[in-house]
Amino acid sequence: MSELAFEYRMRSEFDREIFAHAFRLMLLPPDTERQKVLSLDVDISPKSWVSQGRDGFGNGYVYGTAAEGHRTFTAHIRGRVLTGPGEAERGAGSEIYFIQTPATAPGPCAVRLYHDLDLPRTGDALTRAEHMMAALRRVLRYVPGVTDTTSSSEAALKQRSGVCQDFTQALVTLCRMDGIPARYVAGMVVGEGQTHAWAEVWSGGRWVGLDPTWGRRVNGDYIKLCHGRDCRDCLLNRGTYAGRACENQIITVSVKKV
Amino acid sequence: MHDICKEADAINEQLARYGVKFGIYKNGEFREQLFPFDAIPRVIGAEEFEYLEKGLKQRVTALNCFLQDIYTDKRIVKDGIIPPEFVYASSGYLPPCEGVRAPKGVASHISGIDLVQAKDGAWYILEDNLRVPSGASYPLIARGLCRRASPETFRERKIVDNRDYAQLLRRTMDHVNVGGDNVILTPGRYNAAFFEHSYLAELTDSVLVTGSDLFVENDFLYYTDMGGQKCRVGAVYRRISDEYLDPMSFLPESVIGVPHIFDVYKKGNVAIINAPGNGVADDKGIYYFVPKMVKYYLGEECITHNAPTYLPYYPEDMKYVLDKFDEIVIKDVAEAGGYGVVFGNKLTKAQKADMLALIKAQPRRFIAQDVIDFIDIDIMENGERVPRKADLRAFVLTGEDVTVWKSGLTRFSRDPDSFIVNSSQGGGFKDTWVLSR
Repeated sequence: MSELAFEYRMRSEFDREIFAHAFRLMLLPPDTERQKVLSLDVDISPKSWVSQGRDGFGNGYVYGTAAEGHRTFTAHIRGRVLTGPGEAERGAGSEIYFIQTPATAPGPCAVRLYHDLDLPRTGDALTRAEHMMAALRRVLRYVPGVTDTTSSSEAALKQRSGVCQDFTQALVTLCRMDGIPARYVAGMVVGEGQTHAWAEVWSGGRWVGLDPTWGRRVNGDYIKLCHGRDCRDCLLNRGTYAGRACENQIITVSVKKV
Repeated sequence: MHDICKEADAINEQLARYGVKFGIYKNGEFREQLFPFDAIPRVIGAEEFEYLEKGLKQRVTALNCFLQDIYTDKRIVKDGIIPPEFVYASSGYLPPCEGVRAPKGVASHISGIDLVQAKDGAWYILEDNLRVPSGASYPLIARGLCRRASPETFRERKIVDNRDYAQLLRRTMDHVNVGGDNVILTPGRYNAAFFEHSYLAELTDSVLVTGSDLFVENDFLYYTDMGGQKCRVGAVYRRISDEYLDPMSFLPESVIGVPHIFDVYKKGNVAIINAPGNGVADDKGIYYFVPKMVKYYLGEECITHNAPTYLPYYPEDMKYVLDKFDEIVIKDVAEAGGYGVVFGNKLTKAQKADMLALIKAQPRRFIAQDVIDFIDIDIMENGERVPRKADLRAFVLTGEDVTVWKSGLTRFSRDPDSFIVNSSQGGGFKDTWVLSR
């Protein structure tokens, strides 16, 4: 078991005043079999009002509006999370996660990759998924900036590069092609930098986390924020506003072992 | 009847003056065109309508049960009546709606059910429209103008008055209103059905708003009235599609929606008409299963008939599609408005091969139907009566009880060789008379 302290800071600067700014932040770590939230502190400024909600996958979020004009918007979320000892989540496997979405739908590259996999004839879903993860890592290189949140796994496989989002969606694609329910997870991992993404595969009646970017099973260093069918279901922060401004947004994430 | 036909030009002129138009986007360009009205009505006898009424009520009741079930318990999937991929792979299935129960158990408040009548007199359901079915305003306004143009026509015949649509709609909105005003949310002036939005707002005493007129504050929905007063909204009859409704829960790039409206809805602080997520039930693939839904939820035999439909997903149906390709019509389940409809016998050899390859690669994406030889209805063209294909959109309103509007939108194809009657494909419309005896 480890205790992790995390901090998520978002700061948006606008070069002109904006107003009617609506936001939704899916940054509330859930309590699960593998993580317990010990404390959580949310500070959003400016704001006219905030509220909390839950999406169709069970992910919690804070949302609200900053109605008055402003040029700076900040969200600061920090807390402590106990991870482990369990490495997997129970809960129901859902048929939703069997089915490919537009972002995970296999194209020629995925089909070829899947076909060339020398999958073990036996073995549980997890063994097979780990095999796929290894194969995937031989194909994809980690290159930031070549994809965005609307990119599909097929696009990443075609250009043979991407970031954690693309590694994850590609693994989800392969698992679903193999009949294994798999889902996309957004979260944070020990270190300084950005948010992270990994996959969970349904094996032996539980959801097991696999991180294809680093090629390992999810351990006590990971804090989960939300899950869904693909990257689009897990947009961590959404916002709309009125005003003709350019936005410069800086997000920093830090997770430390206590 | 003769009198009305004489007045047809005058009525069309009036319709144009009232702005009864619809807009079409083609190749990135917006064009507005008149919706041509033909004065010869479709007439449905009292007994025949009674049968349709019974069938449509049953059908819509079952579809509402399905919508409630599919986002909560999913009994119909667990019991193996509908394969899960037909639900979850449907573009109309919206995960944000998972776990949400529509207020008072009504998800489809206004349902537009499209029917055709075959040459032997039997009626067939072509499709169910449970998202934002449009069209009721056209026969509604046309009837008013016809009555004025030729009062004796309506004095001499036993035609049920259809001008109660606005009251029915108002009752439907009031039934689910959770406190506050009724509003009609339109994407705006450039929407295909803007005439309808403004007309229905006027007739139901609702406030016509666009997304930017509405705002959420502390989990309640408001608009600002002409006097600058903040007014609470209790029910939204929205005429924008689910995906664009709320950029915080659906498409983040939407600029015509209302941020947070879906959260307010989930908290029970506003009613949305029709409920988000209904697209899963009017998917062309799900259509196949509607008679099974009726049996499953209501324990009754389905009164309405589907057109004979085949799902290439099932091997025996795939075989039928391959064998009878020249006699069937193929529909892409993701398309609407008459797009994505292909008649097997109209394809060239190469197109046919491409289509078959596509169906084999993506069997879930298509349905096939026998071509129904549906009856022609006469229209007036250059002073002559000529037969044309026509369908009927019946409107079923669900509030405290289920009501079938005693009229409907009859659309016809102006092209004598075409079976496609959608207004976006250049068709016209007629009034639909239901006789009281």
